[in-house]
Amino acid sequence: MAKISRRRIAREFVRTLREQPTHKTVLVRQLAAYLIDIKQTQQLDLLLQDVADELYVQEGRLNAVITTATPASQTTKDAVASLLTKATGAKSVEVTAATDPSLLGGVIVRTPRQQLDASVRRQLNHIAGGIND
Amino acid sequence: MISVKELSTELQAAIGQLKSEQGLEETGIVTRVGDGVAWVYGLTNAGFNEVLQIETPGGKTVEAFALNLMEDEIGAVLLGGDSQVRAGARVKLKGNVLTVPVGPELLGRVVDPLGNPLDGKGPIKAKQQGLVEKAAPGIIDRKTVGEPMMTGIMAIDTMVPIGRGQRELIIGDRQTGKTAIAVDTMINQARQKSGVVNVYVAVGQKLSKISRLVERLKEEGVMDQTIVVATSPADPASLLYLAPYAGTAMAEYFRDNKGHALIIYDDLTKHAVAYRQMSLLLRRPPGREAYPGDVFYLHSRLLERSAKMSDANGGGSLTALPIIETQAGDISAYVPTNVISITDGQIFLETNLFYQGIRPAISVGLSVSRVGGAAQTKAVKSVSGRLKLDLARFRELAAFTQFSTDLDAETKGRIERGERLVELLKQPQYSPMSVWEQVATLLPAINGVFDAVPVNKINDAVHAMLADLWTDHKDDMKVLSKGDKPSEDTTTLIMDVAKKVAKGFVANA
Repeated sequence: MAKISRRRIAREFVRTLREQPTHKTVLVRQLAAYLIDIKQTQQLDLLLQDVADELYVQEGRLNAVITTATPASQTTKDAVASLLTKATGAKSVEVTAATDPSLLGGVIVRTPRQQLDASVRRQLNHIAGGIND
Repeated sequence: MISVKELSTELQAAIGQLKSEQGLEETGIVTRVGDGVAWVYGLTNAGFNEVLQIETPGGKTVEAFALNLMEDEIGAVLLGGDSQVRAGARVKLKGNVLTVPVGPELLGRVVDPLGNPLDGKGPIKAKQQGLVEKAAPGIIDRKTVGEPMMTGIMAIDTMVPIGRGQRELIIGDRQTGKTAIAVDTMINQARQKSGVVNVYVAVGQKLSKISRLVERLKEEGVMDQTIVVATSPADPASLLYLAPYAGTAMAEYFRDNKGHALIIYDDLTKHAVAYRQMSLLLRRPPGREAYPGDVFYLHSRLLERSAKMSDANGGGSLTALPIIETQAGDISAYVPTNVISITDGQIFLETNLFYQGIRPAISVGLSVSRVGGAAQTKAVKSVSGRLKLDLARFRELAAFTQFSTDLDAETKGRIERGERLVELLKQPQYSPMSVWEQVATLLPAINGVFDAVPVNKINDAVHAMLADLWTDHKDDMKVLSKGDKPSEDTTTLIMDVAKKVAKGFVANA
């Protein structure tokens, strides 16, 4: 079976899902079977990112992950959602929160294509890089 | 009224401001890394040859350039070691393609293909940057090759002359004196004060060899007008691949600013091998000798940048002397045939000649210059026609009569003349000859003045004649060096001195 590009699979998956929202379970099973068949199950994470990207391109729905050193408050999440709506022109923004103590402080916002790294860790690394030079 | 200068300053400032603004940046992720190649997910807006910045755990960035733009991922070649790059690392677009510092500040320096100094003389404060990959000048921007690029090597300047803006290939097996010809040409530019800037690009050459070469160039006083772009076999293939393009960008600065530059690519065989390594690691389909399909384009786009510019464009020039190493004299291999067809002629060096003591070991039959004839000085042209004819006859007769001992006087005479001409064309390294020396050497020789001098004494005789001419007739010789066809008086003068000197050597024989 000829290998189809991951991006194309994501594009078709989102398009079909939009046309037939009730067939979601069947579509998911078909996609899983295809990945097993072509022995590409390890590409699942990247495929999901491609699907998120396609959701933004086709529907204007933006999935964002915000990572903070301590659990983010609802106010922070709302502020990030508002920022992303303005910056990207997305119709809706869905924010998922994650914590990573190694950030020390600040926030990292990741969308399928872009990133805003305003963490303390990055700033410290930046300073360290400058000193080492 | 809009001032372009003001507009340029404002635009530069605006670009700088935008670049420094922190905000949402397009990022990708390294999915795999190894053998100097990183595979990147994301960065769908990356352009071909665009520079990527990969974050490392230490807070520094490693640069790479995008060569494979595929639907799902980007294949990028790392410009540094891959030990710092990890899978999962974030990747950003730098926003520009590869550039290197260019300008007169680079003269006398030894740099790597990214323009970083390797000579310990501190940072290079170049005011301009040049594109590593740049389109060659178009038809309208060019002019026919018409000015000589004297190598100082008599065999080349007379029989395979090179013009400014020409691409002349130096091809031969290992240890046949390819680099020696290139180095002598660089030395000659300084000795003759031609104003030509030299750019020597070492592609995967041993560092000991580069070090020796730089020392020699310093001794000869050539380094001040030379840029050395050095890569060693220990460098990543990406740097070996970039070196010729980076060197060309540096040389183009002089070409485009009414100057003249000479670039030596030593050698393009190693360059093709480095590109083959990169291509195979990028999973591009291998073709003949495992080279990728675009190995011709690899060299054609490089050498097309050497050109003689039109007067409207300043009249500058960039002359290229690419070097190709053959295996057992096989010029029909893939890369040699490609570069032979791209260039405007080739100087073919033979191992047999080299070990017979004929150095430079130029094969007169296989060497050719397709455009240089128009650029040859009238002085040299006045002797080169007869020389080529005499040598061609000699080669034909020498092959025909090697089994025969009984020869008529005319045949014998031609063979003896040929033997003397071959002896005269031998030239030690680092001893380039000026125009007057070449003309004064060959004029009496092709007219038979030295026919009676024994072959083993002919070089001594010529040296004595040149010394006499320089001591007693310096002004005439200086006029001859300007390149005009020698006048009747000058010709008679040279012939008289030669006859006098030759007589002494015949008597001493």
